[in-house]
Amino acid sequence: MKRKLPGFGAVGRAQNIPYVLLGIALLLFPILDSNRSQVDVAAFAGVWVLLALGLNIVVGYAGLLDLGYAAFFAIGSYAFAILASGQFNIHISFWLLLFASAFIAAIFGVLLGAPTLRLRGDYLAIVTLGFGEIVPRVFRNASVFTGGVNGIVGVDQPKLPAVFGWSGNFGFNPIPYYYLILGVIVLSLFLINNLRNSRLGRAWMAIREDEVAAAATGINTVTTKLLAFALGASFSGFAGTYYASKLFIVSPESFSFQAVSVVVLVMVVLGGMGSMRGVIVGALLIYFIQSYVLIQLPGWIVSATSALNIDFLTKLDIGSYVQRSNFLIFGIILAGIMLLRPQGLLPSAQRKVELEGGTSDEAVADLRGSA
Amino acid sequence: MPILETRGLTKRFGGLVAVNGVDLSVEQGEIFAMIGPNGAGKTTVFNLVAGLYKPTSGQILFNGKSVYPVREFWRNYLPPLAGYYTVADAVRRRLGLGPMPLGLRPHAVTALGIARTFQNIRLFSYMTALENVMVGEHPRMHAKVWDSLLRTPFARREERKVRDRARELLRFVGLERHQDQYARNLPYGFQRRLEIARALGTQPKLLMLDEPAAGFNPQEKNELMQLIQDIRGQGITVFLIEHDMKVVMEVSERIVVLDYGEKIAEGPPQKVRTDPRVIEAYLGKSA
Amino acid sequence: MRFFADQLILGLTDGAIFALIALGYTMVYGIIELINFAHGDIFTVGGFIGLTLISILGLQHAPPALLIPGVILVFLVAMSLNGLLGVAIERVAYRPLRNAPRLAPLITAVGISFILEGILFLLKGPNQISYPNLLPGGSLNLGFASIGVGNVFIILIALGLMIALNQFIQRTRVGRAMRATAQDRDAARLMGVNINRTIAITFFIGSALAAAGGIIYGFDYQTIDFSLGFRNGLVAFTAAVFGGIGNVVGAALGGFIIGIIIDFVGGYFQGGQQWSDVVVFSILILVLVFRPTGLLGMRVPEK
Repeated sequence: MKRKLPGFGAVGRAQNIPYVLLGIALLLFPILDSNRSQVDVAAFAGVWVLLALGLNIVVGYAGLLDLGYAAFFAIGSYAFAILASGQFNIHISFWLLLFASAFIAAIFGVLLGAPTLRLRGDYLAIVTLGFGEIVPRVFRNASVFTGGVNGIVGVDQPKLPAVFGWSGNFGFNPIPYYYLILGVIVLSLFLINNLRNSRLGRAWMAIREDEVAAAATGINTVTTKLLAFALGASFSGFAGTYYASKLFIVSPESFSFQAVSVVVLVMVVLGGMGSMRGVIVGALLIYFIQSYVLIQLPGWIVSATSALNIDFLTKLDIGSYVQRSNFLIFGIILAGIMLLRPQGLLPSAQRKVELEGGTSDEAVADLRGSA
Repeated sequence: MPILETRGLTKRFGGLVAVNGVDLSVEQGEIFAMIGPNGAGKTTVFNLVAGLYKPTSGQILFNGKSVYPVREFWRNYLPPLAGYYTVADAVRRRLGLGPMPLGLRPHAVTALGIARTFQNIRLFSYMTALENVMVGEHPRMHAKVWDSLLRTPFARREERKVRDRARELLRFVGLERHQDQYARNLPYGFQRRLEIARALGTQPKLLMLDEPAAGFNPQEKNELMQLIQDIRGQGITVFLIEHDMKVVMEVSERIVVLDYGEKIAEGPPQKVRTDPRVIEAYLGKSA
Repeated sequence: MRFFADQLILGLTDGAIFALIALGYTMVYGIIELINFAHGDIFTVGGFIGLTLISILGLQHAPPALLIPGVILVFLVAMSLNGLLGVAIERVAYRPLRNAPRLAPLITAVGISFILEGILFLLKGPNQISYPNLLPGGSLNLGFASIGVGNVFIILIALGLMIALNQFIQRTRVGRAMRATAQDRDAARLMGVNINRTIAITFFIGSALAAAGGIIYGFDYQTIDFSLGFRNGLVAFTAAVFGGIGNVVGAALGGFIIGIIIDFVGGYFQGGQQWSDVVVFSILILVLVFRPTGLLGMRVPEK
């Protein structure tokens, strides 16, 4: 198979050198960053990379538009926060719950998907959108369990046995979180790469291309789609647990459509649906824009305009506009990429041909023929 | 025992009766053709057998067993529907309509050993020829999710085996040199062959070909007929729909003729060719 | 009894708004099988266009004699402008993707929704903006209930528009073309229907109705903000699905029913308002799962 993620398999090959260097840089990064603030940012960015990788299974591989991805993220976060905090004074181990909440999220994925994956694709989009709206509202309203609007504060943090003079407590130290998420991402890449070139991965591609033909070749389309849905959800649940413990707090506001589902979709679409490399780059890029550029830029603009001392520019208050432009930016990315470069920034080999060809006349003939 | 049998197979779409009480029996190991004017309901019969449509009434038997077993139905649908089934079934039997027709979903039909091709080729256009055939082998693979995720030794072994078999099938249909091309980039004739190879990947006992010779030149038609003979040589029963009379008459051993959803003739080619009802159906009443 | 009547009137009023939005969803879905995620935001834009026109004309302070023609003018202009916006969106964002893989127009529609919301956010900011109510105040006392005159007007305006739409679709040449295109685009094209124009008209009408809904919403709630479209759009889509997607009468009916459900859940249950959206979205999921054709819908086979 030509489509293998570089960096796996033979490490010694010349084309893999950049990836090896990147790996070393990522491992050494916390040592280079003395005041740890960048490590903290990176530890959060990892959550989004994980979310994007998970959604990519659903949208990129199986071709299902899931607009309620935040719901599973919320379920993972709350499952952990309820079972490992002072809320009910239950303190189950982080490591256990990390996998348990992935499992719980997958179960919810199955519960939602089993009846709805029989529907046509665009109905699925709206059903997941509705589900994504219900879940945070339920968490907000069921205040007995979830602390309502305030959420749950004081979520447990992971512990490991003490080694090399390190106590093993994660606490608020971003470095262990950083290595944890790095490890999880590397593991995920390994697993997803395996999936892509497997029986299941081929079945997903086949369904995405032509569901009727896929069924005619003996693929159970419903269970295969369900697996994509459940696997995607489990990534989200997994990320949710990590996120809750890293943030120390969960609150219903952090899981809205605008705050999570669309952001992750933008990451996947921008990077390139179906491309692991692309999705990672998309996630990092969007995270960077959202958490750095949009927050810093107004300040820069204010200082720039006041330095220029042009009254007119200062009055325009461009800074506050910039801060409010994230919706617009997301919208432009989604629509722009789909219209101008549907394969995304860093497409996978197959999707490149598929989506580029998708709008050409030749593909129209394909569609007509298979209608 | 016939490998495929339909009894009183009927399909209505609203007021239109597409297939009306058709009895077919395809014998093990033969090449069986279904012909008829456009709109006679041939493809509908295929879709019914393949599980794409559910029959309005009638039965489909594969190797003597109903393709619509009740147990499958329970497993596939919600248990409460089983109650509905029982009642509806009893009512239908009482009214003399025969048992309630239930459908296996298409993938389950394929798993039973019935594979098909489509009239308008439906390949996975953006997968390579080899991958297309490998998808075909899906129902014969046993790798579970965990095997796929972890690439277990079992999964690797199976993957290798499947790839080898797919290459072999591509060689069988004469596409071994095109295995790494995207299906959409293959010439039309090759696409038809690839679709057959994909269907063979499912290791069928019965292969249903929907107009395999459509758009072929005489040379290609001869190659296709040879291929069909070779497939039968492998012990696979072939059931085809074809418009090209030359192909039908030369390759098939028995022919059934449909017109307006009803069976109007059946028998060996020489007999069907001279059947006045068939001539009438094809040439119109004035002839 | 009085409480029941109050909730019913509230529900019908909300329902009228949902119905006006739902019509756009259902018409667009009927004709190009696209869930136009941007439609909720088109509704918000319509409300804002109305607000701008009202302040330009100074209608809040207008004498009663000028008020009626003024309001009618606001409706007509806002509906036309919003209709043109809908046509522009279709032309720029959806038409190029008409034959692309199904995922592409859906994702684009989500993108357009965010663009519209983003522009409103940029221009109008995050806060609620007050909206003048230009409908007559006061209430009719019927003995067992008192009905706000404004509510009656809202329901009448909505019903009037719906009847006009239905007549248009049933009686006119263009309406016939729309129905034909919805049924079988290729056949309609062969019969000489200008497909692009028909689709554009559908978007125009849907967006114009959404603008009417937006203005009515403003009158009713006397406030408007940039993010209205998301929630109301989803509720209206639920209404469209409930009535049977692709069915115009169904969308209107679904709108009223969903409106009533929301206000009854909100009114009769302790803390019900928090849960009413959960109830609505649950209805959406349940209807799609168990009866995807809705109340009056046509069969939509899986393609």
